[in-house]
Amino acid sequence: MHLVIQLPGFPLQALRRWRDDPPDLPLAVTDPVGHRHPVLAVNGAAWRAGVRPGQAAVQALARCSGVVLLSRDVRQEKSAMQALLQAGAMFSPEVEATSAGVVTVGVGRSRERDWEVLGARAVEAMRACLLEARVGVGPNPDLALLASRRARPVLVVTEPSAFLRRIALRDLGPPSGLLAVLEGWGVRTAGQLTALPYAETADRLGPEAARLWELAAGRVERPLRCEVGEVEYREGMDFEHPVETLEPLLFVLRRFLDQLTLRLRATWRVAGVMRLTILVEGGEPVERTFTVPTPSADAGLLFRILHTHLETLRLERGPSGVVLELFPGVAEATQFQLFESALRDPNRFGETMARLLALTGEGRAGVAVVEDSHRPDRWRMEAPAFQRVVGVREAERDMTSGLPLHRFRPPMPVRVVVEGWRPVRVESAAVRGRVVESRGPWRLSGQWWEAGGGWRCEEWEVAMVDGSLWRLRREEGEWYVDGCMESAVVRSGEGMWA
Amino acid sequence: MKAELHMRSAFSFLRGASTPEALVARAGELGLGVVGLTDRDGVYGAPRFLKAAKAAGIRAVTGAELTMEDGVVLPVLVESLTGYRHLCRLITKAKLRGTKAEAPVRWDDLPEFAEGLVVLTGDEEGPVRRALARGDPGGARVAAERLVRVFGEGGVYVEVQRQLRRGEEVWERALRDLAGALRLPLMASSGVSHAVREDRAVMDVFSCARHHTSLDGAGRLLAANEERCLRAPSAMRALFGDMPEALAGTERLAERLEFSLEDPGYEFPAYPVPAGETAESFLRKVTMAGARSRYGHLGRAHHRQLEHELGVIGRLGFSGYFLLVWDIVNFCTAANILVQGRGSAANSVVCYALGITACDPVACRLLFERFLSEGRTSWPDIDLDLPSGERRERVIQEVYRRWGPDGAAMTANVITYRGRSAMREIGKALGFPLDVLDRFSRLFGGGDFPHTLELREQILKAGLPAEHPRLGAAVELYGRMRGLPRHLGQHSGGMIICEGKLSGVVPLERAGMEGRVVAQWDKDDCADLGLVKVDLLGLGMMAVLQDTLEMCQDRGRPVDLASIPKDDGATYEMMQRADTVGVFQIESRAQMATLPRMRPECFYDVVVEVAIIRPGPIQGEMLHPYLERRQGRAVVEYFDERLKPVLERTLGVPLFQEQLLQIAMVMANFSAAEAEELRRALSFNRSPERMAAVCEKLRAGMGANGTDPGVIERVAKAVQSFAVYGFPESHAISFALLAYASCWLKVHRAAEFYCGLLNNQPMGFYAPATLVQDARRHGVRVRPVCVQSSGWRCGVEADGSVRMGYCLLRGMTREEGERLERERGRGEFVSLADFQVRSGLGRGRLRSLAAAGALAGLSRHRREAQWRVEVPRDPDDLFAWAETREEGPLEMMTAGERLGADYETTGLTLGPHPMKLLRPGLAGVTVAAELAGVPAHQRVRAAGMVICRQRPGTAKGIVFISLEDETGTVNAVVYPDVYEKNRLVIAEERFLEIEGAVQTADGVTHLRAWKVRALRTPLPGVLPESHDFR
Repeated sequence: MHLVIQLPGFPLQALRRWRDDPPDLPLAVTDPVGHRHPVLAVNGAAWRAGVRPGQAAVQALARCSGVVLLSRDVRQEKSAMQALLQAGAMFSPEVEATSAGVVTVGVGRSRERDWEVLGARAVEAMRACLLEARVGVGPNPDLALLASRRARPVLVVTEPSAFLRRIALRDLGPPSGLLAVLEGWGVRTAGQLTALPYAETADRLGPEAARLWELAAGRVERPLRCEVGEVEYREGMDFEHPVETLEPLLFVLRRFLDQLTLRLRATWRVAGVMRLTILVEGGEPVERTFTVPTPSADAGLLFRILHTHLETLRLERGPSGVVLELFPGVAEATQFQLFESALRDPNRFGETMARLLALTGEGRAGVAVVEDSHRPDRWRMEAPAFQRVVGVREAERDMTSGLPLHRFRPPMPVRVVVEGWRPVRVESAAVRGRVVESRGPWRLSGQWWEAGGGWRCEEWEVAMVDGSLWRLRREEGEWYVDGCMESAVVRSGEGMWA
Repeated sequence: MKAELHMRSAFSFLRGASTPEALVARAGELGLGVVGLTDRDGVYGAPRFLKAAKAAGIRAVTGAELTMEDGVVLPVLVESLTGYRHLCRLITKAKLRGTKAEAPVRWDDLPEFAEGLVVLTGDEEGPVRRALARGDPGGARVAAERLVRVFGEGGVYVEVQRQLRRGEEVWERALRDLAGALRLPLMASSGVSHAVREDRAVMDVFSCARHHTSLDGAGRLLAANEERCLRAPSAMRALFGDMPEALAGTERLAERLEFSLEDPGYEFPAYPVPAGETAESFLRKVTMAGARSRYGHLGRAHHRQLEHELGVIGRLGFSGYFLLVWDIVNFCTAANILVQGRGSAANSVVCYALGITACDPVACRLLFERFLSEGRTSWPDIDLDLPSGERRERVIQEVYRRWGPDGAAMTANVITYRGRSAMREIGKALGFPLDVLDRFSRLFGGGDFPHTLELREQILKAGLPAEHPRLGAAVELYGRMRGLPRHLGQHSGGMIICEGKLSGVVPLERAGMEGRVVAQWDKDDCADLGLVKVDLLGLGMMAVLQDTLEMCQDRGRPVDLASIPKDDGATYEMMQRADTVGVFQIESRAQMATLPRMRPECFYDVVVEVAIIRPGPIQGEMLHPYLERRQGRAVVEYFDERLKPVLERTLGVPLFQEQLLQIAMVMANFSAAEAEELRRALSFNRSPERMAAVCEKLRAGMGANGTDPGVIERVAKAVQSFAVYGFPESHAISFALLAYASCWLKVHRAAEFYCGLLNNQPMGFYAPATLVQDARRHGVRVRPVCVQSSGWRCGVEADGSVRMGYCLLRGMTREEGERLERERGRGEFVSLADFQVRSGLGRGRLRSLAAAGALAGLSRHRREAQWRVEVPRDPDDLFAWAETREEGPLEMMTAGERLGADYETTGLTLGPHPMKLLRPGLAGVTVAAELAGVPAHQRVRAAGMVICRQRPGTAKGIVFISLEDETGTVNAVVYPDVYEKNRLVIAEERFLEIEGAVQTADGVTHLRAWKVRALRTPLPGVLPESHDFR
């Protein structure tokens, strides 16, 4: 016997696991990349309003202006699929990932022979994962699959021929071309197909039709394809009530890590990256990815990284759930060059970085990276990359660069006296006095499309009486000293830019 | 410095952000005296630039930026006519050699075309700056020396641009050194790509479009600042204060560039007249011969008019042009291609005599001066209507053959950014989700009509949150981008021809269609610069008429189009019933709504009907007064009794442009030429000064005639508003001829006419499904496609029924259809197996024929045919044809299944209408045929298949929907409030149920919609296309 667990409206179910929508709110999932963004799945409220899978998104809106269109989330679908596979594995090791939202389980050797009970257990297991399942049980995988489509929520096929007669041909999954021909013939159910002479049908429509005919007659036996795709190392839990202290969260995470690292070690793998998602009630989930400096399957080490982060994490509301994913990486095997020195303990460094980031906030510690922008000195902080070789981009040849600039960060406010449109006097703590020569303005602006109208500034380079050279900037009416030039020597007669 | 010589407009396609007009306007504001347009790889915007510059009193210099084979860009400026010809030929050579996307100029080509051109070293894309950027000063010198070798020492200027970017001084020093070393003059420019600073945002969006990225991802691909805008002379003097020689260089160069595009060196092709004849004498000869043939006896009026016209034509030097058009018409006649001139040419008796037009201007009392008058400088405009499709292409190819690929070209059609395209480009740059942009487009509900939904609201409705930080930027950009050129298309039929090489007058490019080349200018540009244009327009109805006439001839019921009686009662009765589905012009919703009120009784009524349902008269609120007067509900009155002869035939309501001319002539003693000048001054592109001057002249003229001041004001006001929307009477007559002829054929040769319509799809307002339903309502029997009887095209059978042809079968190719026709010609198919073997058709096509019922003669029913065509046949089997006709196991199709199969295979059904099948589930829904009997204002529900959705720009946001059911058509009117609530339902759904109030007036029944909802049907999705928002 075979048992099929199916999650109807799979893309929507996968999304709704983390959503709390009122049941009467019409929902539809659309494919953001398909032509005219077709609807993939709908809930009951949307169905009642006339929205159907296959319609274009605009047509769905035409039918029901209040329908909430959600974009399909492949990641969530994958996560739900993993839960489905794990649920299948509760009943037998023979688990097949049949299609998206469908698993088939060989339960012939199950000790439980009451298939209704077995099916109900599967439904319960999925419900625990916040997924609504329909379960079909039948003598072969295909019949079980067909039964699952008609199950409410469990259907056991005891008389295959009677059951099959009413099954829509489309549900047998024929190739689209063959289905079109058969529908053109008026053949729409398995019963109608098996009423046709087998040999003559096969003679006309070929082996695919012959197989479909046999499938419709319940004669096809196929072995399960028990490979379940890429293994994911993912654990998640929703709390009954939001947790208010750190301990319960750390306790759960430690258990997750113990489980996950055990599975990793069983396959001789190590974790290279960890992703922690903390679900916050009524808010956006907080997601953080940790690069493990030296990939490892040491639960203690991985736990310390998480612990460091969580110690300083401040959430406005208590976490209502947590998801932890480990991504296998390659074990450290680096040969350094002669004069290259390695960190003594990259993991320790990583932990320190995590501590720093936790203290300072995201984007405020790490490695400074210059951004591709016209805005001078525009940069951002990036976490150090431990496991990937970062090619150092060769600095663009800049024929126009003059003397090196010592940049003040942050730039220093300055009072500037202007005559005409040129600065003639500068007064600040760093520089003060008369400007003997100036060059500029250089005008720059950008990000005009952002709220607030972006930025706009004007730069000048000035030489002071004492021969020092400075870069000034005017932005939003205020003047700043951006920095001073090294070797600021003005040689009379040659000009200061020589 | 009062010159800016290096500017790119939006005609550089994504490399410039302002129109030529905007650049000129800004230059005028800033006080510039000379401006040079150097668009990328073309002179696309040069005519518009010239026109705007002339109006602003600024001298326009022509030039272009040339993309070279190594990727560098060379700005060149035209010094003389030779230089201009060289530039055009150089671009043409590259464009015809390259692809649509990439057509660089080769360095080897330059020497041949360098004379008369001045080259600039260019900006950062130029060869010198490129080499300097590589850190190769030697390479920069080599590049400059190469330019000197090609263009000569006086032909190269070292260009210095200051865009206030750090490091410019380094380039400048290098450029200065180079200029000094090679003794080349410097010139200063701003390298303008937008007129004003604010347009930099558009330039950034264009940069994103060019690099297929977003604003967030573009980084330094975007402009560093807004300095590529036009600067005032004082600003340039301040900016280049330390480099006066560059400013002086620009001034000297500007003085030197004397060429003006006003004379692009165009020569009209000479017509090869017989020896001893001039164009004038030969035109006279053929015109008189033609007139005698047309009229038989030439009366005094004819003679007088002919002499007058020939005199004007001769004095204006247009005789050759008339001979040229006559020659094309002669070719059409010889090739049996129906041709008819339209437009104001129909005012000319010469055109009538030459066979170019079909209406007699003498009999119709048409005013020749509307077409041509003394003092006219531009070429007259003669448009020829031809049957669309292959026959028109033959005429176009004949023009190419006669004048050579370098002597003739299609005119361009400039595609501009409109609502959808602008928002798509903006949205992509701003990183809006694609589904939001899709929804934004769908919300237009067809066409880019004036927004009835405020833009901001439309964006929000498309799904962008109101608090989106980039919403403001999107709205701002939208306003700036709309109307900018996007790419160049091809005009549907406008051709320009030239004596010698047209490529020396305007650059030519490859068109999308094989065997065609297109000029870089659109028809208005060509007209402005004096290039002769002949419009060879494809008209579906001309093809229908020609096909219909040929079928009538074949069936022994010949009809001569010219001698169709114009007083046929049955034809007018049909028009009065608005029974005009399929006929020319008067088949639209608006026309059909007017016909029962208009009740045409004579040919001139048809002329008025054609002219009055136009945006102009509707907007000018002329329709209602005319109909009121016609129905006797309002008194016919005139502004002045003297105008009675002018306005009598339109019941005192001015409708035609000829009437405008005559009003001025009668009331203010204008000459014909002055009246035409008045019309032109008041037409679409009117300038306030010119308009004020002519109006003053008109008032003065009327005053001098002793006209009452009140009347003067009324006439002046009417003339001003009416000049915009007026329609040439001659054009209306030409169209009315086709409208009347198509109506007459529908009444008297219905089978042939419907056949012609079905054979020339797509055309007109209605899909074949609607045409077939209409044919059946008119008693024409339509038979399905049948392999024993059908040909590729639909045909009329001996009993007068229409046999559908393979052309209506979806997916069937012409080659397959004609093969079947040939095969059947060799002998009837004796069995389905015989058909299978002899047809050579693939399995898919056989299935389609079986499902469509086309194998009915070879099998008992469609399903049996479907079963049997699947049997594999061996073409080498000698006895394959001898099949046993065993009964298949499949059941016959039900009515619903047949309907589905019909729509799937042909897009129409000869069985019951889909609504008939749905009727049992539509309790309380009124059918179309009963709607007329429902008392006015009564609330009803109607339902049907949508055959037409329209939202005319003149209707203030009202949407007109036509629903077809098994009894006829329901016309619903949806007001904006209801439309806004149901936008997507109306735009998307194929079947609608509309609830509303019946409105009846003068025999016209409408349903004013209150509620619109989708009618959910189990019918197949492959339904015929409706005529949506076109």
